[in-house]
Amino acid sequence: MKRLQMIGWVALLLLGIVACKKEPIAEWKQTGKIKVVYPAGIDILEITADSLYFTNRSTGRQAVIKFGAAIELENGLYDCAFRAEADYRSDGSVKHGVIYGLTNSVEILDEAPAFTIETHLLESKGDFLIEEIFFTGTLYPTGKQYHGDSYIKIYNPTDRVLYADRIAILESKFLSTIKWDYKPDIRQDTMTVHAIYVIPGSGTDHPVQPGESLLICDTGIDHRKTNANSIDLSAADFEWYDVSNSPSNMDIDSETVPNLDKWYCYTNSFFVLHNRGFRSYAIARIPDYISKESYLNDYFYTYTYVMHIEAGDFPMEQEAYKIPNNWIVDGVNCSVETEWLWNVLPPSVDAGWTHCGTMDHDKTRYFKSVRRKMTSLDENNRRILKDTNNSTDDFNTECVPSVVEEQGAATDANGTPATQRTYDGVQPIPSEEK
Amino acid sequence: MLEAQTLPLYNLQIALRDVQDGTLVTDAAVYLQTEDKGKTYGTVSDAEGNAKLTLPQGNYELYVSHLLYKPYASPLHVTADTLLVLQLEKQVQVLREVEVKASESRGLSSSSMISREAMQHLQPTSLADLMELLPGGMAQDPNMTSAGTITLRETGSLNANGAKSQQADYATHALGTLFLVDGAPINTDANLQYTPQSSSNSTESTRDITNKGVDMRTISTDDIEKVEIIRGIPSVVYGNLTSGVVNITKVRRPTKLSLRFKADSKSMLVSAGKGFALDSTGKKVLNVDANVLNAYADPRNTLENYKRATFSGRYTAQQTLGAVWLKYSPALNYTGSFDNYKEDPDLNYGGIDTYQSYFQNISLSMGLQLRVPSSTFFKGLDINASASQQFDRLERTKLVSPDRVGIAPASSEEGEQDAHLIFGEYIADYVVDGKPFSSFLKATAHFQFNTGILKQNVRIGSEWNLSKNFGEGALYDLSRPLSASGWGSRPRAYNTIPALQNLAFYAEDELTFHLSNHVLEARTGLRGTALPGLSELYAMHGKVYLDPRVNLQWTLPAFSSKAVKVSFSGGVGRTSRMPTLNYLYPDPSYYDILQLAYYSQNNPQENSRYYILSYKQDATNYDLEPARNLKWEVRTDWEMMGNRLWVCFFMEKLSSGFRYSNRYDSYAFKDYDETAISDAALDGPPQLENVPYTERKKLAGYRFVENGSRQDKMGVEFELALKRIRVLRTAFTFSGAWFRSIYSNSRPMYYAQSGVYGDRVLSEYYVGLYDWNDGRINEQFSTNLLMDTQIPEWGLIFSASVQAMWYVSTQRMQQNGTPYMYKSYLDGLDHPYTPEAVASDPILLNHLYYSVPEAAYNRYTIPPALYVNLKITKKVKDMMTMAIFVNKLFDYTPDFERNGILIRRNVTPYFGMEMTWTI
Repeated sequence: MKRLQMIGWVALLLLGIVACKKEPIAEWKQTGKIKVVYPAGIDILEITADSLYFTNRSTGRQAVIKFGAAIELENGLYDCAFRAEADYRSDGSVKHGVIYGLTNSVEILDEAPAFTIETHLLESKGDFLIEEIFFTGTLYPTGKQYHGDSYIKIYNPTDRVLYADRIAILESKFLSTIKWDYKPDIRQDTMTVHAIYVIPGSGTDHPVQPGESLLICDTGIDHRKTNANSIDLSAADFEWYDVSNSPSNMDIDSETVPNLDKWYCYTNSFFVLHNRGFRSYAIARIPDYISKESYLNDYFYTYTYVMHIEAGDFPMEQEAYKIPNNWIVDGVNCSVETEWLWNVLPPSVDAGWTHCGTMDHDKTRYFKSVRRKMTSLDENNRRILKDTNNSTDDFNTECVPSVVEEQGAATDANGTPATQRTYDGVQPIPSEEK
Repeated sequence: MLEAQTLPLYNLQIALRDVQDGTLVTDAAVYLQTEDKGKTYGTVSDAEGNAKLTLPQGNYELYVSHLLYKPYASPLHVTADTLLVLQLEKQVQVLREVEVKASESRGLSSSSMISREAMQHLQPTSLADLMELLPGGMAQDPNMTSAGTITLRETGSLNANGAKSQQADYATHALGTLFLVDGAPINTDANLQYTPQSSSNSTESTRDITNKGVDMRTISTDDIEKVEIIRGIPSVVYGNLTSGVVNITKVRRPTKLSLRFKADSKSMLVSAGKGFALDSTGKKVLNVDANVLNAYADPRNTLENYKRATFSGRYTAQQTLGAVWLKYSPALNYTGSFDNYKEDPDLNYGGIDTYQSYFQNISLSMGLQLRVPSSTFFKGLDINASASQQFDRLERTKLVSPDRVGIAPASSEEGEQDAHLIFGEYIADYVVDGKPFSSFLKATAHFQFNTGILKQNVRIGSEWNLSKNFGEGALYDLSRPLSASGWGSRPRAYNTIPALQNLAFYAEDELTFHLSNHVLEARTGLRGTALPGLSELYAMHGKVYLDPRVNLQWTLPAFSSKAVKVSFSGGVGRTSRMPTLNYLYPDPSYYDILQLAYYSQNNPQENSRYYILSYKQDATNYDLEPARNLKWEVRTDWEMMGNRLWVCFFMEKLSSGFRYSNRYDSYAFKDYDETAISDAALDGPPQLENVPYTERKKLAGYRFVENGSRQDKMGVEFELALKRIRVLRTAFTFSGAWFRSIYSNSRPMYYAQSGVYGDRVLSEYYVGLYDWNDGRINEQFSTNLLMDTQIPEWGLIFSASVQAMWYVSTQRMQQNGTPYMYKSYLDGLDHPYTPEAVASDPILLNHLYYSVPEAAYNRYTIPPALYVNLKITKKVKDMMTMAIFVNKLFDYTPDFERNGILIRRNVTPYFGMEMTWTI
């Protein structure tokens, strides 16, 4: 244990001066050698309730330290978040909001820690949220893996009708378990994707009522006909279908479930969600002026990295598609504890990560999904889901999938049926509402 | 003088035998002195332990003298032709020293001879263990649960990190090593025991020996007298090989009953053998041996194991008929080899996956040696014949869990057809039934000419081999394939595959030339091989492939004072390996295209329809040629006062090795529009009449045999064997080898780039043809310092070897990633890869460039690794011998860094012990 003493008097002084004037304050502030950079594109007028949130990566212990106060922490590796309330001017009007930033893996040693936290405005986009991702799939009664019954649920958290037309389902190309120094580093502004499936429609074809969800699945058939432990997805809202004329890796096209519009997918067989959960998922609203053709032309990029392995340093060149972060309406990082190296999506999209299972090839992960936490029900008995742009906090992990709950389907390879229904994988629905 | 001439002359034959184990006593001095001590007749016992004399009637004193035996003296009265069997007793204090290493031949081509004693000290489980004794050989932990192929004078294929990797593309030298047992080859040409999954890294693939030659695991060593491994240029008497010869000679002499029991960390072995003398002279002998082995991949897991049982009965009879000496040696051999693998039901929800591969081989062989020692021209005739029937069975049971609803082919026919639908998991039963039969006949005549200072030995002969598989082939239910995605193959009856015949003629002249104490020897030979009965469609039809081979040796006169003997040798020769049954008649490839994929939501089992177009692609390469290797070597051998040093440099070039390459073709199909089908209207599977379709084409690949592998070998072998130091009773031997092996393709290769651009899969549209080197250059340098201490009066042999792998390196060959041709889906033809052509479809065609990062060409070197191995053999009384070995007892394997990454090496000692009773 080592005691650190730091007083951010410079920052406090600055804050004091600008607070009186209500003029844009500096674009950053500093305590000791910790620098916080405010979001670009807005003028910050006043900052209040600013704190640093330290999480020890090995012990999990958390410490909240008022910005500028002395930092007293055990030596170790920390994730450090900054959160503050802010008055800011944007598009000519003064607004109030929350700014937030996170830097992973900072080392706190005897010396004063030195690092920078880039922040962004935490704002509800008033659009769909990813409510649930069931990427692990199910097992046959013999314990063998089954594919095709994974799904993503998206939720309308607003109080108005949302149209799902042109919402894209995205899987990241990068894995949270492999990290090279990718160049150009476009992560702060764009997401590098290798699967893009878009909900078809001209703009108002697929309305979703407030508090309602869309079920978007791999294969929209009654999977129980093949695997008794699986679920019936024949009533899903959409499926991703890959045309293949190879009998050894054919996909199944369900007649009752409309297909997503496949814009691009890396595989020449059929697309499945990464069932060990190493990739990140996002939904994006593709602007009207972007057609599939123009997207495929204009958003293709080449990146390089140096693969550093025992046999040598291998400069690699890869091609991928990218999605601007400002199209993204919600994103979720996934990983497992023993393999996590980085968050593929930047903190402006998701400052945390969620998981099913704790290690690679975790056999306990099957039949489980990640589900967004419900904070409460509103006056119309609609769920209010937690959205702080940090999936570590916002998601319940290793839940019984909602479809499994609804259908009383199997929760393990032995076929043990689900008996309880919940709002979010944890909070039970009172029985009279069932 | 006059008196002696008038007395009748009689033939006296004395058969000398060891009193304890009945071994023949050779090189014993035998002399008879007349009573009056006026005259002495003497000779030395020959290789059969016989001393033959012709002497007049009379009373003699017989003396027999041998370094290792107590002197024998006794009066003898010769009054008729006499046959006498003498049992000699060993001089207890002077026991013979034994050779515990392979001894290098002094002959024309470099070869290692491994004696029975060396094998006993080594304590092998199978023939594979003997490879440690070759120059550059290292002790290996026996791996009895995967096939063991031979790598002579090569590093074997390595992966990017210098670790051994089994690659079927580079197995030609293993296939091209001839294994002979008492003159009859082990023919594996008709082996077809593989499954469609053999190509991937699976339970099957590590045990698949198809096209890889002999699995040395299956050969037990207990009934072997000696093994000669010819590494250099073999005589033309040996053929159908690229690399070398493993010539096994079995025990054929009277022996006591020997019982051996061996146990090591992963296996147990019991063997028994006896040589029955059927007459008093030991001219008729019956040897019987049996051997049982039980080995595990891991002693804690009894579900994965290997069992072997062998039985051998060998009869040997010698006879002299007038001027003709005859040796007749029939044998009956049985080998059973059983591989088993099972999944643990407790860990796999009662999993039922099993793998069983076994063969039982019964072979009958016959050898006839005829010698006419007195003839000045025709010296003899050797005839070998054998017939072998093997019963191969590979049984695989596997729980198959389709990714989702699966489909399986419904028939082996070409054309449009409906596929089977698979709902849920099923148990696939897969059987490969093979009954390879082979027969062999070989005759060699020996002639001798002596013209002045030239002595010429001529051998002329012919060899015929036949391989045929009478098995039923792959037997399985098409609708229950081993893998739900395992399209591409269909059951095939092996008995429909034609027989393969190999006919060879050879002539060889071995010339010895003495000139003022210089000796010049030259062996020149020519072997011609043809495949009679091969269809005229094949390029090999009617062709004779000639293998000329020359070996020379010049031995300098001995420098008298220091007894220095120096010789220089060299040789060059071509060797050819004919293709196997599988290479000549490969399984046809099936290519299936899904034309309509309709899944009925309401009634999937009844109303779904998957309509397939099946193409059956003949994968036969009628232009196939034999794999031909050009070998040469130079060698020098120095001997001085019991010390010996020899060094050999060799080079081999083979660029026509066999491999399966990929070929591509364009296939047309109908792409039906499933959206035109309405589930509600269906009563049974949809009819196709009203379903619209578009005609399309796509590229697809299939396997095709080619002479497309380059497997070059180069290296230096050496050995310094010092004379035993009497005081220490220890002999030091320092041997080693440096190998440089190149494994690459030798012909342009099609390579399908993976990539999806928009919704187009690149490899379905275009595939590039690359004239590149897709291979690696491997090197290794290893030495072995062997110290063997022998204290014969205690019956103790103790050997310690320090085996060092000084480095192993591997480097990828420069690879030109620009195709020179590309195959187009439109016409299925190759087009030049020009800028104009690329402009026709730039998005896809630009991606045919294959980029290799510069760092991939870095040489990867593994730093030194040293191991100390101990072996001890102790004779306990006369009846029992105990032996133990500990391999890798000490090691020096330091951690090393590669590109900033620390690599640790872990070494586990391997040990075993055995007891042998000789009763």
